[in-house]
Amino acid sequence: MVNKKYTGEALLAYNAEFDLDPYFPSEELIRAIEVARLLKRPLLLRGAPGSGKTRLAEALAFELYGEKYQEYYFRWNVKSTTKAVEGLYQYDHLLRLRDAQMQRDIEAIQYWELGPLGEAFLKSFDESAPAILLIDEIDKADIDFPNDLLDVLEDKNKSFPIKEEKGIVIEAKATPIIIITSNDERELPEAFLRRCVFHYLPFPDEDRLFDLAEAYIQKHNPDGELEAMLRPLIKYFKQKYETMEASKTTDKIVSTSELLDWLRVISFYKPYKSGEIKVTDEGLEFKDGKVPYPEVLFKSHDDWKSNKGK
Amino acid sequence: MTAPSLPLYRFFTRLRQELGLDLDMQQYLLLLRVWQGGEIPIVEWSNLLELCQTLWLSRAGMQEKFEQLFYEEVEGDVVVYFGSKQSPVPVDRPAIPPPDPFKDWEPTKPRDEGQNKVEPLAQDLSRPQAEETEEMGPEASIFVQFNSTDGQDAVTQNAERKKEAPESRFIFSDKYLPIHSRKLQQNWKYLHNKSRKVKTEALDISSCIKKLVQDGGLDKLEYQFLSISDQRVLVLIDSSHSMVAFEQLAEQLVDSLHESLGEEAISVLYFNNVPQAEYLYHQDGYRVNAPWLSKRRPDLILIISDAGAAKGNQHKERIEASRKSLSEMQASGVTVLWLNPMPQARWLSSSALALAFQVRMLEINDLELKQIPAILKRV
Repeated sequence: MVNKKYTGEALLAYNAEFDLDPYFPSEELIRAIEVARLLKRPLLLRGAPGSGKTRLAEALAFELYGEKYQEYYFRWNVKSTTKAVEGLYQYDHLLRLRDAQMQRDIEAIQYWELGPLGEAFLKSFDESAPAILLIDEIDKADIDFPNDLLDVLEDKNKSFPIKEEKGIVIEAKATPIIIITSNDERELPEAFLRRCVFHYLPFPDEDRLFDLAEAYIQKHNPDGELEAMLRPLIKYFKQKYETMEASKTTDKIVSTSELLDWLRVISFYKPYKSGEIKVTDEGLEFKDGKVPYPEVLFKSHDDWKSNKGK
Repeated sequence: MTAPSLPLYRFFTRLRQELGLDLDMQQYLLLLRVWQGGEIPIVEWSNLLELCQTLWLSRAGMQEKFEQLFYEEVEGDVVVYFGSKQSPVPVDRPAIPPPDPFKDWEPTKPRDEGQNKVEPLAQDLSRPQAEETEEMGPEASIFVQFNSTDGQDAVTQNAERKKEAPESRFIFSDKYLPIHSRKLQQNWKYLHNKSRKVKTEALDISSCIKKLVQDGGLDKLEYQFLSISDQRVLVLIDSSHSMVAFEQLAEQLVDSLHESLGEEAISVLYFNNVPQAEYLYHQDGYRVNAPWLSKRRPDLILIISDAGAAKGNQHKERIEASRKSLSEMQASGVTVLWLNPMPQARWLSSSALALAFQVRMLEINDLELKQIPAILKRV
């Protein structure tokens, strides 16, 4: 990559070769990435589900490294049981013990396996070509997880030992670009926040939703008739999103993943051919006033009851 | 000595004080590093705001207030001219390098030493200056002025700002205390869960509309509910000299109780060394009778005191008097917890040890206070 700046222009359309959906970063997000890279601090991304937090890291890797991006891109899916040390490496103590009892002489490297964080360190052997690590949904982890990550996230710490094996140290020459996503489900410790830079991704506007939906339809089920009615469908969806967001009684607000699923179902069953959905001068018209396939959009019984009619 | 004036430092300080953002100097220096470095171009107000948000805004819900404070401050400490605030510079303009803030790292000069002099940013730069193109025109230049004012009005405004400025540059943060407010509130959750919902006289408009839409009519109005805690907590705070150092800690404990249970559920009284029924005072100095003997007695009494552990003294008389009061409280059926800000190791040689045999005494730290819900559950 050689100190290439991220512009967000490499993935403005679906990439069939690598099966990558388009990604449309805002100017503000691009600047936040550059600030994080400059300061060598993790970028903590927050925002509504479906706002594109998770996909940024892959899009960034693709723009910086092109067809070799998978060599530099590492993803760490955090779970409730994830421990920080697992990101660095995991050691097979049981195998080691068994081999010791059987007096087998096996190379130490057989017993440990690098985690995504360890891999990203190992791959970052040049300041001009750091690896990119996504730590996805940090709020799912145990309450101590962010604090346990602190040492690792310090810019000055670029190496870690395999504690079980004397003298083995994994060293990085550069700091990986670390992108952490959070759904704001719980507060993160202040000490952790102090080491990050921040960006909030708003829910996509109508134009951005349209671009996403268009690319999605073209990829999965191209249909000119559906593409022609995409604008009113998006407009309906965005209005529904805003109504549900404003309502205190909403259980789960619709997100882009529900929109894309809904469009996929529509493109498969084609309700517009049977007149279940019509486009009029006033927007969309549903047969008998009922939204087709509401089960894809609304995920709770109350939301379904409140929103199934137009 | 007058505080040195650094770019956006007042803004940074207000973020800590008014928004409660837990920022440290390292994070302020990050701003200077990025701004001075010039790698991230700052050509518009919004660019600078974005940069501050990227570095400092750790709570999404505070964005609006953050922006408000930013614009209040950039019009003050750092005067930036883009021609006008409403006509931002187009993005494709070349970045204009930032000032060297350390050039102004000195006490504010008296007015007659040129305080009113306005200097353009470009003249203050230690970095190479961007060339001013014809397209930009002189009116498009960004001028940044530190520690100076623009005319008499600005001097007055500056003086008013200084009046409003915090008295001390040292900002107290609860990160310096042995327990975080958030964790304290978790410990009061058990008490909070005992609250009941009470119907208020305020209409719940959204529920009414929802019912109207769902049922096609409204047979009865929907009202809002309010959580009311039935738990009454009396906090007795030792105001003796040895407790001066723990004033903030006691305040933090009381605040966390207020936030968890509401103002009405908490009473705070003060005592001097011994929590005796006859010598309890309100904050305004009035003496009050022992509330645990009244009809509306509290459910829980929290005593915040070092019990002599700060000085390491053992006062026989005080121990006896305290024991007597504690017995009275316990006999009235009230749960009593003694929260001691001193470490347990210091209790051994003081009155605290004797009192810890009579009442449950917890050291004020995260680990110890975690036991509170379990203790209250057992009562």
